[in-house]
Amino acid sequence: MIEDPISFEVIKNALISCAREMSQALRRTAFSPNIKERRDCSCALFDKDGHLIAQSKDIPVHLGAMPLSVKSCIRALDRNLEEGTMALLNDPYSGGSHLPDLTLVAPVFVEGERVAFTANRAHHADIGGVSPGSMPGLSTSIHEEGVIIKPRIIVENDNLQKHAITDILSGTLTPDERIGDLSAQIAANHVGIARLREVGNIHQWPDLIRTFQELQDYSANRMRNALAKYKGQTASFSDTLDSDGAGNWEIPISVSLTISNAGAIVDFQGTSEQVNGNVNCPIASTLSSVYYVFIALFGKDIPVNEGCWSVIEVKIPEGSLLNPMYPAAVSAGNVETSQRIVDVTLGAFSEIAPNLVPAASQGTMNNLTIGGIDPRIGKAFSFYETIGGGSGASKGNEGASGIHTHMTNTLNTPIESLETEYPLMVHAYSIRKGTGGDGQWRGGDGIIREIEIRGEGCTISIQSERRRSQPWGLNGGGNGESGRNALVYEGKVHALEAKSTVLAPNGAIVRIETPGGGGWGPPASD
Amino acid sequence: MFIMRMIGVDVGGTFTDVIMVDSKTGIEYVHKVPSTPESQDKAVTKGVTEILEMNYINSQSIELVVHGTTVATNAMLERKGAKVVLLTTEGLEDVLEIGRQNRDDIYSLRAERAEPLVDRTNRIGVHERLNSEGKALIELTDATISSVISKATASQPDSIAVSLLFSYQNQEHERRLLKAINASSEVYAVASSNILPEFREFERTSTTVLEAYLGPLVAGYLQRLDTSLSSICPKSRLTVMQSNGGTMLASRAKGQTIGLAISGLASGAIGGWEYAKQWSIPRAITLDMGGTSCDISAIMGNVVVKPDNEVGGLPLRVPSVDVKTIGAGGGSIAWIDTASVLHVGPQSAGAFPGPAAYGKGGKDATVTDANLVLGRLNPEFFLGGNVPLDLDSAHESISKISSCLDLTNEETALGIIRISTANMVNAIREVTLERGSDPRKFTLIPFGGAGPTQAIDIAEALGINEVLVPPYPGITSALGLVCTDLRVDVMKTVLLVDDARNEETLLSTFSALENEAAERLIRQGASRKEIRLKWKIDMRYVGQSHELNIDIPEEGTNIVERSKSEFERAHHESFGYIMSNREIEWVTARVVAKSESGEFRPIKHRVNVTSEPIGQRRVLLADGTWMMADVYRRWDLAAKQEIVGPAIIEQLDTTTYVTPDWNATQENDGVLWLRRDER
Repeated sequence: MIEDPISFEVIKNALISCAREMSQALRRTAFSPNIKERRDCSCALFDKDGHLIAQSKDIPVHLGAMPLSVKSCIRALDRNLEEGTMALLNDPYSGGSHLPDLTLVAPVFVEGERVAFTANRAHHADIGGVSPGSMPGLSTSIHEEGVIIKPRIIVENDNLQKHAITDILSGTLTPDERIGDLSAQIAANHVGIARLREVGNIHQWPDLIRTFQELQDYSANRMRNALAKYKGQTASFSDTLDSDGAGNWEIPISVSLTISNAGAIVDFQGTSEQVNGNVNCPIASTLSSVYYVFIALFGKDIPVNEGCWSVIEVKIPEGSLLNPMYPAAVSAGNVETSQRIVDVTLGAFSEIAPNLVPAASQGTMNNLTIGGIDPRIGKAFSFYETIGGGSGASKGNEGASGIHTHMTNTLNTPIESLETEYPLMVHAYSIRKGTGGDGQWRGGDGIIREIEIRGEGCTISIQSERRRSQPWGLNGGGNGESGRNALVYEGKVHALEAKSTVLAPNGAIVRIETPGGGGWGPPASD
Repeated sequence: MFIMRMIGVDVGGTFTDVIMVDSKTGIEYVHKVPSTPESQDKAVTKGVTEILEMNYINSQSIELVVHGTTVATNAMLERKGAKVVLLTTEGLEDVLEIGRQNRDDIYSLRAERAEPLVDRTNRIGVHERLNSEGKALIELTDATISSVISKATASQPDSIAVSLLFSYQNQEHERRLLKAINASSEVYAVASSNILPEFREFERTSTTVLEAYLGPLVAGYLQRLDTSLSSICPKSRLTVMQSNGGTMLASRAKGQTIGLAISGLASGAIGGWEYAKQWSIPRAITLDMGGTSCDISAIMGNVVVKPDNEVGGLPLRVPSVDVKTIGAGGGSIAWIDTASVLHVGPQSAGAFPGPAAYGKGGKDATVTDANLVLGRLNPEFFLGGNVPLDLDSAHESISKISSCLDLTNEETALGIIRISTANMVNAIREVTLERGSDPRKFTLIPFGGAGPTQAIDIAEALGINEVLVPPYPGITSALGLVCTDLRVDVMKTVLLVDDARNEETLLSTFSALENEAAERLIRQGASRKEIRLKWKIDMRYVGQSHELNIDIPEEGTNIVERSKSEFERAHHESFGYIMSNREIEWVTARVVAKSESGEFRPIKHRVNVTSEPIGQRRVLLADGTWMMADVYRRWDLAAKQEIVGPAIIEQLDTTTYVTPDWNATQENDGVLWLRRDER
């Protein structure tokens, strides 16, 4: 029972505001375009056990995965997480997702007692490894993907301890930018701690801490009630990943759903074993993708916190594509496989709740990384971005064109930022007309983006999907068109694979054409 | 600036309110005429003409007319702006449509975007290219210019927006295009390097397009109004309220019409807050409920100007007073959907035909009809008797709904008020609760013609115990207009990195900006010695792309050192750290110039004989029981007189309804306080 509904609402929103202000501080103080312009970062608050209690609406794949990071810090460091410290991690095998995502966790103390945590995750544009940008097209072991950071304290007495990050700074191509971005992450936690203290002072700490639990119970109840309508129903669905970049093609992902009184069981039995390439998806990212689907379908108005997920049981065999074992390569799992997990889970729900579920969206993030030496200043650079595509149509709504869908919501890099900061030039940025699936409601169209490399010896890495398969339509709607990657040099077009790493000559243009979304309902016959 | 006589005119969806202030005598005159939405200036000139005639004022004595208009807001909401052609760098024609590629709600499976204001066929690529330093990679040739202009004018647009990549670094290409357009046609043309000389091509382009979209309509409207007002008040200047809460000369609106996006909304928050200041109220919710819409602002400490805003899904990179508007007013229409659910608004019956009770042909039941059926309004004294209300017509309109719902007319009327209240309550929750503040700690300040009639319903729903009703609720927005300062904002991007010569550069930049701002204010009628100037500079560490806005106390030297230490202090305060070995960058220098209007003078409520009720009226309470309520006239109440609910307090421009459990106190500065009994 909620004792005081108005205070409950005030506190709930005050906590969300804390998280939002953290996000603002993070991007306002960040140095790399991927964070300051594209906002590839997320912030949230946790109770003393690492349960999510409030989040800023940032990047879905980050948000659902962060609780495991916080819990992993608590487990690994426990008492060392003293007042004024913050802990960093990126290890996908202890609460991380892929190596470029650095998560910084800070305890919040009140009168000597640890009562909560703030945490934020930001995608760093380079963290070492075999190719600039740490998103290699073809890696087969996590050791090729960058510096692995197990939970470790890097801030003491509120200050960054440079000696604690020497391996990171020597591993990366861009150490100055890393320090700048880490400082921004520290700033975000400082802001979160300060704001949370204000909320605690206004509402009294014991009440606030009680509300942490009330919030989770409330959301769990609401989610259970939302699912109750479908109890006793089961469904299953399968789809594939195009490739792993290491010789495996059409890698299956299967799911079966069971809805009961207690909630839902999501079972990935039938999914591929872990593979050699880098599409293995760490468990935190897998869970995050499943949770996203439940919130998107049933969570309207339900405050997002750990309670929502407590009614969902996810079964993933160890050593599978969606719960890989060390030292599997994982860099594309978080960004590409996560999208397919959403597709199959939504696909299964389309059998149970056909009118709620949209056709498949582009099903990829189109990760593009370019690195090398900037001839204008003679220093190394590393550029990373993801590119929107078509969203799937749904009953009553056309899909949107050129938009990010499902597990990401990063902004584009403004061309004026991109060309100022990197030796690159954008030749085209346009809607890829006619690529959305046909239907009573049409899928959204993809994007065409062309970027010229204006420097010698730059490396281009691409991690993309839906280059062979197509985003499916629903209820008779047509499929969206597949995407395409190419390198254009001296007038010749060279097709590139879905996962590629290539050395590009000066003047080469990389062209990414992103998939359209599926259509919904049969097209008008005339 | 000392002005003898000034007029404020605020246009609402239903009524146009006029206030005239004589600063010598301190007397205020008020008037109200039905709005003329097809051409707002008609009602404005009518209202100004009538207020002068009714009060025997010499029109030569009016020195200033301040105007709040919704022409721009409505054009954005209804997408009825100009037909725009966009000229942009070749290859990037879709930037406007793709936006920033993100969606508003991360959990929405049905993400939708506002349609771009210019469709693909009217977005024309220009063969030219600047690099990030502003040097031409592809020169803009005269042949290109003439070919794109003939393409652009072929579709006969109302306006042309020019937005080229990196134009904030080098205006040359945009300037040449603009010059050629102006040489070959009369069309309203704007360039992004003038409208928003900042990096980020989408934000700059969409803001420039919006200026082109609003400009012909808004600038044309103001020009027309200026002409007709100067024939009525030949010695007066016309200024117009900007979204940022300052005013500017109407004749200078060209190229700055996006600054008027919420012109008509900002003044309500300012007018309402004047009373909060007078009573030292720390937190207030201003609620301006007219005939068509309700404008809400939660104000803590001072009226907040946000750096950007959004109207009808269109982003605006223009400073704006923080106001939320919803379609809820006295004229909001009640209707039933296909599932037999009752809704109220956002459609409004407006001034014509108006609510059914106006008897002007309106058949739809509105909030005003419901209030009449519930006994809250006086059929003979609505708007001081200027608009007689017909109870039978109100019943007839409501009966169409009650028969569908199988309810009595009275139950339906209660339902209409409950839903309309809930709509406003939700909007208030958005600006308080959802930002983490507790609405129970705010004072509600209801005004507009319909606000005080429903104020206690709203306060009850939010747990608010104190309500302040201004002396003339119907014209509080117009009052906000005459309390507003003349304001000019100027800026220049400097992009300086720590260097010995910065002191000189900054000083000369600021003094040039000061001169420019002062000149512009003087042209608007300010006298030089009354101008107050503020220096600000946006600063960051080299490599960041968001700045902190630093105030610099003007005059004196040492700008570099003072701004640096202030920047470090602010960075530490906001983010908890400084980076002592990073270079600092000065990005944009800004000067804000203001000339204060005559100060707000509270009126004096001089009646000291306690007033008896002029009668009694049956009102239907929320629980469905009828009760007799005493009816009073607001101007007959004695200062400090207390009234116990249920009661109705009528005045020319509104009706205040006091429910049981509440009481009212008329104060000697004209304000009426409503307070809830102990819970």
